[in-house]
Amino acid sequence: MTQTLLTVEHLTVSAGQTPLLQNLSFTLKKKETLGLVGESGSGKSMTAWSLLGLLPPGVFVQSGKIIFKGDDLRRFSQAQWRVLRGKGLAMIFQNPQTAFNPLFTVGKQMDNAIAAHFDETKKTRRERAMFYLRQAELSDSGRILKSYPFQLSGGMLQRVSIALALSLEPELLIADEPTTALDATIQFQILNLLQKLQKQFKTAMLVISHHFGVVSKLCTQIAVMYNGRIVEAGLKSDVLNQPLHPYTRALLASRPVNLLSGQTLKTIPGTPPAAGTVTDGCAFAPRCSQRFELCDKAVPPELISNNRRVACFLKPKYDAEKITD
Amino acid sequence: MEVTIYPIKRAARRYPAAFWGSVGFLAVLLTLALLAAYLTPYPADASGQMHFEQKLLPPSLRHLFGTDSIGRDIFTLVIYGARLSLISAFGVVGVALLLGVPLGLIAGYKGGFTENVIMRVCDAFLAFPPLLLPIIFTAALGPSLKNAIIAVAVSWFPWYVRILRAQVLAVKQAPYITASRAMGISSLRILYNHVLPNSFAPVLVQATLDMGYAILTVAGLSFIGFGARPPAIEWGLMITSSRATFLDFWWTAFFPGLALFLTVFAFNLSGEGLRNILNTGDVL
Repeated sequence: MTQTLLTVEHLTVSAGQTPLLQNLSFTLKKKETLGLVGESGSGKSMTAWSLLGLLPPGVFVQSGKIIFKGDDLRRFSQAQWRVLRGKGLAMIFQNPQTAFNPLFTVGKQMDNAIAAHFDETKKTRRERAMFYLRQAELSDSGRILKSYPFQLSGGMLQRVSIALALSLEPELLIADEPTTALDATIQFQILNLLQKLQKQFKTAMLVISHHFGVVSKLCTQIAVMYNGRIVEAGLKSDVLNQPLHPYTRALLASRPVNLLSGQTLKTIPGTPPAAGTVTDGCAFAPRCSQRFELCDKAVPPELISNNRRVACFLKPKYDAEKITD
Repeated sequence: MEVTIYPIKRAARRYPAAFWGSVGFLAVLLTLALLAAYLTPYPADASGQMHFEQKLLPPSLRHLFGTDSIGRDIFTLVIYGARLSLISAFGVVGVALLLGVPLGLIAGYKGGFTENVIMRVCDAFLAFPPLLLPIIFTAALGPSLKNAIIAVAVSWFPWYVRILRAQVLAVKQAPYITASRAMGISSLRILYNHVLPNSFAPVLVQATLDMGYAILTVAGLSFIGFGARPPAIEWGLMITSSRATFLDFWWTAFFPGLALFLTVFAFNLSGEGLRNILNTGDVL
């Protein structure tokens, strides 16, 4: 039986009166991989920060629960958080070049993090670091440990951050746009590496990206976010092949992959609402091609069936067979 | 702000004469001061020996800087005086850093109420004219070199708090700070390992520049009777005691003054050089 690792229930996160995440719910089982997709400001990163208890000043969890391995994280003390961060939940950041302190070697920074969580001798800590660097396909691990961040390329540094995150043996790995700051060929390598390591270490993973390609490569489940809510979620194959929410369909339709030569790229008209916009109706309604009166009057409730979730009034009109674009 | 530390060789090429000259001068001064007993011609003069038969002799080969009104060799006294001047430079800046650095770190990193309390206290200290506060402190503590050093340090530390706090505010936004927090590294460690090293460069430059002013201020306090007292040998004090003679016997005030000037100048130049090497020009 797979056990539930993380449950987020009706999570609302606000900055003052402005809700940044609204009524967010999802679960993640051990070894499972979930991708959060959405445009900038949809609350993907804010979700990660609330899981780590590192919300920016002035932003707070207003209501809801975050349960990790049976513990309610909202009741955690500072000391409990410190143990959880890194060892329970580890994070990989968007820009590896700035995720390391420029004044110290990569080795020292890895050693600091390992020493914070493992009561090991200096030699064992070094072996641990070297082991995970090799797993991240950095063969010359001795030299890497002695390097300063500026001496390594972006791709190599991202491998180091992955090695660092995994060396703490986390149960959940959060990857916040892990490839956005890298160039295209390196992106592909890093994705392959993450995929390989996830299988090898059986770490649960939460991948945050605006890129369906990244998420579909790494994840078995996908949740699409818009304006601080999950508008659609389900198995990867279901969401990609039979998108139910107009927003998901519009996003999928505007991928460059769909382009035949000579076509112009499809876009979604309008711009996403600023983070924290409160609407009476569906937040996507102003940009939706299928909106009708009800869309502006009430926030669509989440319809859940067979591991599939969608928050749209149109949903009842669809039958799985009839979905066409 | 990004701090770039140039390798020493490159720094030497970029900032040649002034920086290395001043650092060299200070090194020589430090050696002379430490080994004064061996390197001065008349070490006994420094411990109070008087020779009225050879008072107020002009500079000569026997007495390089001449002699003072009680016949002591001024060269010997100037070298011995370097001890107290260097002690006051490092003492003032050291005590001020000891007070200012932790407070600046805490104010910048914690923010909120703590920051407000620390910064308002600093503002209160900075509201006094620069020399007035040390005078008040030494008047309260009693005039001595130790008290003068403490007094100057206590009235200067708010500058370090302010500089460091401003730096910390910028550095704590850095992604590697967030990354460290996300890895469960404790706040104290983050402060010590990441925040302090990345925000210390401007403080270091300011501290070097301040060493010169510290010597001047302590010498000034000694000159007006609030610092070192006779028989201590201190440059400011030497200038005071030459007041009666220097119009006719210029060397009695000139050489302690020259030593004071050169030392302050050297500290300033090395501070400037350090500023260029550490690339903190945009901050200070």
